Amino acid sequence: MPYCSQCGVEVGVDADSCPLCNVPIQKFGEADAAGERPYPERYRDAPMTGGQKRLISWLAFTALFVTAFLVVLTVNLVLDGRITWGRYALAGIGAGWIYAGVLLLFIRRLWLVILLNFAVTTGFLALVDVFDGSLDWFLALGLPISGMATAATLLLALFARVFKKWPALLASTALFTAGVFCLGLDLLVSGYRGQVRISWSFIVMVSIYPIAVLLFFYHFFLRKRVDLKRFFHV
Amino acid sequence: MFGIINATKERLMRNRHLKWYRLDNAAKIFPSVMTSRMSAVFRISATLKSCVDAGILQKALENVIGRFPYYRVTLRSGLFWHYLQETDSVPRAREEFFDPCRKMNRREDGGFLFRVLYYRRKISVEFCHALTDGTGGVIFLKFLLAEYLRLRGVTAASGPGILSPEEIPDGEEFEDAYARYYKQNIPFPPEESRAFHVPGELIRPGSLNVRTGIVSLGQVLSAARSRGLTLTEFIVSVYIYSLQEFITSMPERQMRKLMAPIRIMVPVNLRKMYPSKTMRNFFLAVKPGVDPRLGFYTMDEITRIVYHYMRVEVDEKFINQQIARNIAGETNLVLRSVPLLLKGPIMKMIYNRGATSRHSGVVTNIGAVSLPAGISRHVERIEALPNPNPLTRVNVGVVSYNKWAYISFVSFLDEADIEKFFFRNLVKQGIRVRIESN
Repeated sequence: MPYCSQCGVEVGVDADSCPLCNVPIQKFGEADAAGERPYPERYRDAPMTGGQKRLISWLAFTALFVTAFLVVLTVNLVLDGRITWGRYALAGIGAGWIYAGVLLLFIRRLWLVILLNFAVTTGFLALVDVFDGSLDWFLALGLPISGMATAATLLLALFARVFKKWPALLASTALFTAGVFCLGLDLLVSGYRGQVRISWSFIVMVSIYPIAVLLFFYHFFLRKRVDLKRFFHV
Repeated sequence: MFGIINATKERLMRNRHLKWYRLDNAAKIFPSVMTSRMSAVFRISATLKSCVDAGILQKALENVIGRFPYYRVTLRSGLFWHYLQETDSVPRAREEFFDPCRKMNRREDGGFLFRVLYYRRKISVEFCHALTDGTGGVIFLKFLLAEYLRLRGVTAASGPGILSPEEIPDGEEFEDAYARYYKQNIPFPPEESRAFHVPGELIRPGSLNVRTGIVSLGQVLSAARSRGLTLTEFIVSVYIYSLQEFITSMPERQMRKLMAPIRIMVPVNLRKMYPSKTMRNFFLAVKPGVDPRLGFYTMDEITRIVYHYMRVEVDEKFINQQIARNIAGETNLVLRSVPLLLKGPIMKMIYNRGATSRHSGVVTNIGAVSLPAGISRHVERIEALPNPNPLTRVNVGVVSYNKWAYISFVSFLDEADIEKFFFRNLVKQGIRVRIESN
């Protein structure tokens, strides 16, 4: 019987390496002794890759969305003889389908997902706005808000990548970005209503910026010097 | 159209007359916690001296199954609990193809909760724990072997410990023995803390690594007896020591993270304590262990702890506390009235957080399997694989048969660190070990 020089255990005649420590087994002229495997050859089908799984889910989603699309279309046509309220629902279903597709097919490419989502969102908003005859709120609100949200998301993704190892800094910059986004939203909405002014976003900033500053300060000045456990011990 | 309706009606009428059984107390939890990894399936196999004849094995299985009406069942879901329902399908002996202890599939092969497999010279039976425990599995396998050999023309293929096909099953074989020996109104056993678990990335669901160490029973028994231990206690001690070595072999930071009590779950066959002929589950577990946070234990210290622990804990009164707790869970009116759909996830959580997390591994000793001389002449070895568990990662099953002990590790890890420490420790004690793996 061949044996493992590391473990000191005997191994099967057909073993090339020790089943315990993987050290190669030296053989002394026993190599051609016919060994019988105690178990059948391992059955290992190639597992589905993540991409294949996502493609299948996307096809399933497509079937689902197509069904919903047809149902809405038929109901609207049968009830009213033409497409009326149905166009809002149809636009929503279509947008949902593209969102699902973008997420499932391009999830590995974060930048692309964010940009495509921006395109779908603005397209959907423009459609909904146009359905009632004219473009009125899309240019003033829809486009800039989705643009701002996209910019904020891109920025967050960038921070997340760069500051991966510094959670305090990442949280600080995320809070900061969120504050700026709220400020922009507040300005835009109040401007659309007639008068540009800062209202609720002020409260948001007052409550989150101290925390952001604290985290920023902690990252650059305290992290190396202060043991939190010691500092806050009770 | 009418044909289909009539056929459905007929099937429903037939189903009404089918017998059904409640799951026993230990089995209740398994259907809710089964996953492709946590399969709750264990295997007992016998390697013959000649190749298995598939046709004869099938015939033997058909002859044998009538004697085990409680195994000829499928798992069904009621509104509140799963139950077992009699089936008239015939179980099939299949050639082994997949890794051992694969989950039982309700839509596969008649939906049986056991399967019979063969590969070259080996016949294996795999049972879901919802059906029975190791004792029931061994009795079934022995009977199947005897019938197979009888059909192959072996005379004297019967004897003590082997059932006979003409026998009518005793009513006691069907019983939930836990319920019989349950004592009401006694306090529950104390709660335990979370135990150490072997870290590591799990292999693909449906795969299982098996590494069996074959040791001479004489050598391992004399090593055990020189310390005053039984075989189980000795293996548990070496296993605890190996886990401890594994923890301390880790880099400092990871070691500190892993430090937790090492506790090994050792199932105890209750039929020896409380007389019952039940062919369903009737076991409970004790959990000897050490706490490596208190310092490194020498082998002598561990054997001493295990020795005394087993003598204190394997005791009717302590075991009864466990039965009381388990039955109380089952008979609790609130839990009973929750529909199965909600109860399932609750039970899963209780099982994973409350039960499995309390031990670091399982060492289950089926014991010495003895076969009548007429049969044992044709059987080379008996092995047992315990049901695998993705939380403990590694579990151990032990069988002794005919001068050999077979110590099988089932593992979800590609690295064999625990096995390595364990078998190297056996080698250090002067025991010769031969390793086989799948």
